[in-house]
Amino acid sequence: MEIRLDGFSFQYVSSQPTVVSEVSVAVASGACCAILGPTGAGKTTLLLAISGALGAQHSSGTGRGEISVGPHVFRPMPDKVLFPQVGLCLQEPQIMISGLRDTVYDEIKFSLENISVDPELHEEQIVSVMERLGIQHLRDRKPFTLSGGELQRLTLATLLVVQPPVLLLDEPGNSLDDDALSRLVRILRQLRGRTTVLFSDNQPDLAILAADSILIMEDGEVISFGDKKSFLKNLGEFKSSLPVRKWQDVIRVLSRSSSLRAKRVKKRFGLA
Amino acid sequence: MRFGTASKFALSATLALLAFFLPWQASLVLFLCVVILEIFSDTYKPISAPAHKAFLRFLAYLVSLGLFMVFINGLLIEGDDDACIILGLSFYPDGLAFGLNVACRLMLLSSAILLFFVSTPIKIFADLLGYFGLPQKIISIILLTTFYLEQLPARIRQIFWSQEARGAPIKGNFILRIRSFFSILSPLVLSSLVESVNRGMALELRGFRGQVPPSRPRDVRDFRLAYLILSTSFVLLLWQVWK
Amino acid sequence: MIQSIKERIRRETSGPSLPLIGFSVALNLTVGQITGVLKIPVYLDSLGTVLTAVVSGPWAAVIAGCLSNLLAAALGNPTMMFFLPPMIAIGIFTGLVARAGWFRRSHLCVLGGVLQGLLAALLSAPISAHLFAGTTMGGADFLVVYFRSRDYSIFESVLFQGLLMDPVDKVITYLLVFSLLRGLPERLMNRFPGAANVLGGKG
Repeated sequence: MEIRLDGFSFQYVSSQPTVVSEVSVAVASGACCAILGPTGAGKTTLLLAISGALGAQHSSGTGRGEISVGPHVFRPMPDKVLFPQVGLCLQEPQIMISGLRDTVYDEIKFSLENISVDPELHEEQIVSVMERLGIQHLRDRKPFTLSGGELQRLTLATLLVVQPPVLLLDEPGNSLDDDALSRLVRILRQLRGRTTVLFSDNQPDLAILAADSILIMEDGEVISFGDKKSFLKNLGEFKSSLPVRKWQDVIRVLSRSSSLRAKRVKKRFGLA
Repeated sequence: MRFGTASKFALSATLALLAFFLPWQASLVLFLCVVILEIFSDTYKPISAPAHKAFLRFLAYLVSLGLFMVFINGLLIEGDDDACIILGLSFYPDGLAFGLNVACRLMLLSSAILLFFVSTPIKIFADLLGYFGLPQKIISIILLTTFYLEQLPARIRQIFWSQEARGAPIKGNFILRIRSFFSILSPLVLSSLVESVNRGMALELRGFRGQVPPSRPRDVRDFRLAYLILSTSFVLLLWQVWK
Repeated sequence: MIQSIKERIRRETSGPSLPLIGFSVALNLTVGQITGVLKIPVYLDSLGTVLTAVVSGPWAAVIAGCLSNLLAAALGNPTMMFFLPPMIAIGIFTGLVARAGWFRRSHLCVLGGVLQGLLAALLSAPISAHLFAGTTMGGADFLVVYFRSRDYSIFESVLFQGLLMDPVDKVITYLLVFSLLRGLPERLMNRFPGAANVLGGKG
């Protein structure tokens, strides 16, 4: 399902500045797009707007432009959550756990129950998604006893079990160790061609490894949008021209770190 | 024979209702029956060893409270009959009888209700309320409450320690302690409001509209038995009132 | 009329209000742990209910209050099941005074707490006196015994105990909620149906 934003802008309170302004991008069906930028760039707001949560929960906010999800055009944005067509995973995976179910299996089942899927199909769909994400051994565990990486895969499972044509992930690379990050990259690659994926991040490594196109934002505005190849080609230019102090801070901090993730970033940015 | 949750609930409710109508002697006998049921029956087997211990502690508390009530009412309520002197204190027969009535009622009522809960996890109880027709949203709030009840003590401990480390007084005069209480409560409430916003959104993002299907299917036989017990006790109570 | 009440209940139990009610019930049930450690001699067991009434509205608070009593019964104080009327009154009364803007001024909070305490005492007294002869397994029972030793009837003793204790408890509860909500960010408060109760015209 294609995602298209046309001159989309949003502000939460009329007296405050616009959080997202004049964003126009298109992500082809089945492609994976990374939205990069520092904290406060408007990445989360953009994902919330596409999912419908922004329109549903911030009725006092003001939007302009339009958002298209597949054949549906919303002006300025959907006013109710588009689940199960669009699945959004918020930044902290533990917040996505309902708190209403006791086991990993039941937590995944909860998503199917919410959209009234025939109970006879539950077992098959849940087992299949658990196998794809490698969490079948966690089946009877309590969700809140899982580690960060396991919790994130569970969250993905709760969304992927309904087979959403569009998957949105808000900073999925945050606080993941190297193994968990590699696993996430594999999962994102598996989804390519079947599910349109948009994810946000404030570091470029996951984007480099898993995305087809990269959107860079700062202060709510699009700084660049294009395919990964052109991003990599222009990396040096980006590195020097990105007017984002925080962004450079991230790189500087990473350059002192020795994790695999940091190494990857350093290598890409010529800091190694 | 092992009763299901619904019939177990019906039996406990009947015992609790009977406490308001039976004389104290009968209430006392039924109270003892409750104790025996908790210890020996399969139906009312406690959900955990700590639950069983808590129940026994509660029973000990109930009995001492009951004795205290008999003592106080025997001392305070004067009747027409002469007082009897025990250890230099005057106890009035009417007061003692009143105290016994109230104490046995409270003992039976409380133990019968707790007998159900000590052997039923709150989630199963929530299922039961759903079967009885309570709105699904309320059921989901009960389930969220059990979730918060598991999380809150750890959060409170964490805030408590950090406040203590920052030198917030937990001893001192009333005003100081109230201030200290506020410094614990304030981050707890703020974080919970933020979390409520995010969790509310997360639930909506997963398609939740307030519906919570029960975790297990309804046992029809169990429900028939429950309605039988409840209707029989209701008829008996009506008869008792009419008499 | 019924339709508008239904819509209000739906609004007050949707989105962030749903988890907030769950948190408030848990807060009502666990606040005793904190007051116990700090040796604060008040119950504050309607703190969550009052918070919900202001932030989400009266119907959400009624649900929070009733569930608090039901679960308190399940967790070891079975007599609480019979004290639903005072909890319902706390929810509705607080929701209404919050809507009237009383949680924007500290002196009005004190007045609200006193009135709320008196109302709670009046509604609890008949239940406590007739069903339990004044014994509710709480720490204030000694006051009932004291009044009874002064030749007051059970009902009078329970009522006097309530009239003495409840206003103090509720004034502290009201002032705590007032102070807790006063400094919260506008953007956070705006997400709840009762934002205007705290922010006034700004919400």
